[in-house]
Amino acid sequence: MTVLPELGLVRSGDLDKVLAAVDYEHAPYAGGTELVPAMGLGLRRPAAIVDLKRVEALKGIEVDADAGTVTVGAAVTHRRLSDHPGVRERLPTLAAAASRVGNARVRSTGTVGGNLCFAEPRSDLGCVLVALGAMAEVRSARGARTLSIDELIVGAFETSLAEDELLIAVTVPFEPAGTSYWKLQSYERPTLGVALVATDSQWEVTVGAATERPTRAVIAAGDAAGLAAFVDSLELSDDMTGPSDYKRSVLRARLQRALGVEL
Amino acid sequence: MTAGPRSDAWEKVTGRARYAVDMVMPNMAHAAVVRSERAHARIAGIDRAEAEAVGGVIAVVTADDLGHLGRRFGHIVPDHYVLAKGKVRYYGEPVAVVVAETPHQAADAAGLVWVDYDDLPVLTDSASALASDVLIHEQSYTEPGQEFLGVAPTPSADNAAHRGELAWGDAETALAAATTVVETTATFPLVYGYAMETYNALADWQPGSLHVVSTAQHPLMVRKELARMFSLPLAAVRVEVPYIGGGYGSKSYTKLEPLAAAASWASGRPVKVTTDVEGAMYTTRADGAVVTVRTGFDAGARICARDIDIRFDTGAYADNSPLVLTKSINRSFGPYRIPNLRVRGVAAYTNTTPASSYRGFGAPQGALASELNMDMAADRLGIDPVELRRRNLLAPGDTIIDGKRPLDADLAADLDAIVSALDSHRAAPEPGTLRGRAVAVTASDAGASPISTAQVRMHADGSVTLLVSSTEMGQGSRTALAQIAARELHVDLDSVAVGQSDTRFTPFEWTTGASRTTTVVGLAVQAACADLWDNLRAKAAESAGVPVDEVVVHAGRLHPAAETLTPAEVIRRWFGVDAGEVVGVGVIRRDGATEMLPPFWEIGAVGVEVSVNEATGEVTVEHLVTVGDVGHAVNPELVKGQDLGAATQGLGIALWEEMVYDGEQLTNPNLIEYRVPRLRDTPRRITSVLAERGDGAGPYGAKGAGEGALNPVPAAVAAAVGRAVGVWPTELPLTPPRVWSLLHQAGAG
Repeated sequence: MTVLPELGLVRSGDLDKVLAAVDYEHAPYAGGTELVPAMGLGLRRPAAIVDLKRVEALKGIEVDADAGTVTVGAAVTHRRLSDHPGVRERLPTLAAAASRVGNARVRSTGTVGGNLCFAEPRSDLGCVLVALGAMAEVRSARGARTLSIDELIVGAFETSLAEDELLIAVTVPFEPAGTSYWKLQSYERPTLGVALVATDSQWEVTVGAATERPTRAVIAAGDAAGLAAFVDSLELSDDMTGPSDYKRSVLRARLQRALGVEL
Repeated sequence: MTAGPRSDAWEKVTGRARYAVDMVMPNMAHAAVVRSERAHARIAGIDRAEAEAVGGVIAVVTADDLGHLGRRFGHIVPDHYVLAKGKVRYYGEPVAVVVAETPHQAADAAGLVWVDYDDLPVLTDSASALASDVLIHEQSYTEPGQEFLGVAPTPSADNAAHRGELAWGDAETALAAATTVVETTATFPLVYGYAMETYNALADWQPGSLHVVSTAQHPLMVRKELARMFSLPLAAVRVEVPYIGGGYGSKSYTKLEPLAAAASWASGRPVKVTTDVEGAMYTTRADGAVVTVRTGFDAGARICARDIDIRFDTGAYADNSPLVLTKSINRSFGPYRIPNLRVRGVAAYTNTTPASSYRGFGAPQGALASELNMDMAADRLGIDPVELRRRNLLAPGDTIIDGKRPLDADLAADLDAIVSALDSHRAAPEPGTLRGRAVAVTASDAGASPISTAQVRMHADGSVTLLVSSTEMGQGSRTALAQIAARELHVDLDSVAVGQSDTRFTPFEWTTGASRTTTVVGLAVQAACADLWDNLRAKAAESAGVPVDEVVVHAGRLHPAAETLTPAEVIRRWFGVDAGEVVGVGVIRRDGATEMLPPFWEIGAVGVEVSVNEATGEVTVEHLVTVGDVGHAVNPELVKGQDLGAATQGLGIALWEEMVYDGEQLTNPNLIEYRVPRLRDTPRRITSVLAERGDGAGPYGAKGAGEGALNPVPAAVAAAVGRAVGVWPTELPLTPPRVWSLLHQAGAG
C-alpha cells in the first residue's frame, strides 16, 4: 500500500510569502496531479508542500486585446482554461486541448503551471504553447524574468527553473488562423501530439509526447522534402505505447492529411 | 422508499454502503507488506533490526516467526506459504509483514527491512519454464487428501503445476482423413482482474478464535482454510464479508486472509492489511495462455475432429488454476457436433504473479483460438462464418460432454438474434478506416457445486429477513434473491431485507462464482420459502384446531377452514402476542433438478462490428451485440448490466489489458500503464438481447449470467479485426501498434 510520507504545509494567499518558501525541500503544490504520484513513487520527497491554491495572483486569466495576448495564471486549472470564454475565443486550439487533458479529475484539479513545470514529455499544453510561441513569467524572492516556453522546457522532466523559482503566468499570443492540434492517445497520456500553425507561406510544425520535449520546425509551405526530413530527423520514443517506427508512421500520415502533401 | 432497479442503490450512491476496507476494530494495528524485489531467488537473510527500531512498530514478521502457522496453503495444490520461506518465486511476493500503530509507521518500517537474495534463473514464460531444468517448485505437493472437485495434484518432475486431458473418438485419425484442416494458434495475455476495491483483510486472532473481515468472494472456503491453518473448529472461525467492490473471480478462495491472521497471531492485535493496485497485481491475475486448435472438416464443411493444445502461464503458485485448466479444457472446443476430440492442457509454473480464477474461468482463453479458428476455417472453406457455425452447432438437448447435462439452450436462435441486430445497423466504413464484423459463441459448464442453504425469517408483521452467505460484489444478487423471496412469499420487495454474508450467522454456501447465484442460491431461497409456507400452514392449523391438510394456501393467504389469514396474522395468533417469527430453511444439494452437472450451461453469444483506423491502428467497436441466454431474467436490468460489464471486460482483454514483464519485473503495475476500458471505449452502439426460453434448472427456468458475455468477446474482436485488416491476429491485446503492424503485414502481403 502506497502511503505518502508525513509532510509540512506552507499555506498563504500572499505571493511574496509563497516565493520566500519555495525551494527544493518545499515543493509548490496546486492540483497535485503530478506531484502526488511522483511522491507516491518516491521520486520526490519534499519536507513540505507550498500550497498555491489560495494565491489569487496565480489564478487570473486576462485577455489583452491591445497586445493581442492572453495571460493565464500558473494555478489556473485545465477546466477553467478550457471553459473561459476569452480563451475559447482567442485560443480555441489551446482551450480544446485543455478540455481533453487526462481525465475529468485531472482537469478539475490539475493546473497549467504544474503541467509545464513537471515537463512531462507527454503534455498537450506544452506542445500547443510551444507552437503558439507562448512566454513564461517566472519569479523568485531574488527577482523576475521572462522566457519562452521553448526555453522553459529543457528536456524530459527537466525545466530551466531554479529551485527557488516559481512559474507565475503564461502569456500566449492570440492564435492565428490555420492553427490545429491533433493527438494520438491510447493510454492515460498522449502517445503523439502534433501542433500546426499553417499559413500560405509557412508551416510551423511542433511535435510532442513522443519526443523528449516539444520540437518545433518552420518549413516553407509546400516543401515536402523539408517536412519529410524533419519527420525523419526526430528522435521518437520506444515504449509501451508503441515503437518509434509506429509513431513516425502515424506522424507522417497525420501531416500528409493535414497539409495535403505526399511524404 | 421504493427499491428501484436494485435494493442497494441508495446506500451505494450515498456512500453509506460498508466495504471490508471501511471496517475497523478496537485496538486495530496496521500492516505493511515487504515484497520481494526478485522474481526467483533464495532468501539468504532478512535484517529487520532497523525496521523494528521505528517508532510505533509492534512486530516485523517473517516466515521463521510463524511456527505451526508456517504450513503451506492452497486448496488444490498446497504450494503456498503465507510468507516466502527459503526462496521467493515472483517479483512482489510477500516476504515479511510489518505491524505498526499507524499505516505511516508500518510503511516507513517496511522500507527498512533488508532482504539478501541469492539469485536463481528467472522463468517468466510458460514455454521456457516447461523446457527448463530449473524448478520453480523443487517438490510435488501430493499430500494425501488433497483433492478438490475431482481435481487432485499430480506428481511432476518439471514446471507443470497441473496437466489434464479430455478425448473421445480418434482425433488424430479423423484429422488425417479430413478434407480440410485449419490450424490456429493464439496467445491470450496475462490480465489482472481490476476491481475498484483492492484486496484487503482485517483479522483478530485470540486464543481459541479468529475473526476475519475481508473481500473474499467465498467466505466458507476461506473459513475452511483458516480453520485448518490455525487448528480451530469451523465454528471458531468467523469470516465476515460486507459489500465487495468488485470480484470477477479474482477474490475467490484465500488471498490476504492468512497474512492478516498470521500478523494478528504474531502481534497480539487485530491487524488490517490493505493493498493498492500494485499490491493487487502482485496478488492474483488470470492465467495467460497459448492455445493451438486444429479442426478437420469434411466435404460438407462439417467438423470431423478437433485437436486442441492449451498451455497456461499459471505463475508462481497454483491457487485455483488446476481447476481453471480443467474447465478450460471442457470449454475450449465449443458447442459444436464434434465426433472426434482431443484436448490436452498444461498449467506451467512461471516466476510471475500467481494466476487463479477470473471471470470466464478458462473459457475466454480457449475460445480465443477455437472461435478464431472457426472464422479462419470459414474463410478457407469459402463459407459465411455464421453459416459454418449453424451447420455445426449443437441443438437443444444434445450432448456436449458425455455424462453431463445436455445442452439447455438454443444457440441457433441466439445466433439469429445477433445477425439480425448486426444487419440492422450496417454502415459503410468512414474514409481512412476499414470495417470487420464477427460473431462468437461459447458454452461453459457453470454453476459449480450445487450446494446452497438459505434461511427466510418471517417477522410478526409479515416482512422477511433473508439470510444467505452468497456475497454481493456489485452483481446485484441481494436484489435478485430478494425478488425471488418476495415473489414466493407474496410480499413487496421493500419488505425483504437481505443480510450480509457472515459465517457466524448466515447459512452454508459453496461459493459466489461460476455465475451460480441466481440459479443455485435462487433454488435454495425458493425451497426456504416453501418450507416457510409449510411451517405457517402447520401453525395456522394448530391455532385453528384443524388438521394441516385442511389448511388451503392460495395467493399468499392461508385458509384454515372458512377463514382467510395473512401470514402475519398466523404468526401473531400462534404466539398469542404481536411478536415472534417463523423460519423456513432451504437446502440444495446434488439432487432433483440439480442432480445432473453442470447445474446449467452458461452461454456466451456475441457479435461485434469494428472499424480500424488505417493510419493509427486504433480499433473502434462500432456495434456490440450480446445475447443473455438466461432462461428467465429475474431482474432484466441486472442481467443486461452483467452482460455489458462482462463484454466490456472482454473488450479490455481484446484491445488493451496486458501485464507486461520486462525481465523479472512487472513494468506496468498501475492503472496508467495497465489500461482498463474507460467510458470513451464504450461501443458506439450496444444491443443487449435477453433470450428467455425458460430452459434453465433454476427458479422460473432461470440460468446464470455474469461470465457468459465475456467469454466469446476476445475471439469475436480478434476475428472482426482480422476481417477488417486482412490478416488474422495471433496475439491479444490488439493495441494500436499491434494492429498497425497487422496492417503493414497486409500491405506487404
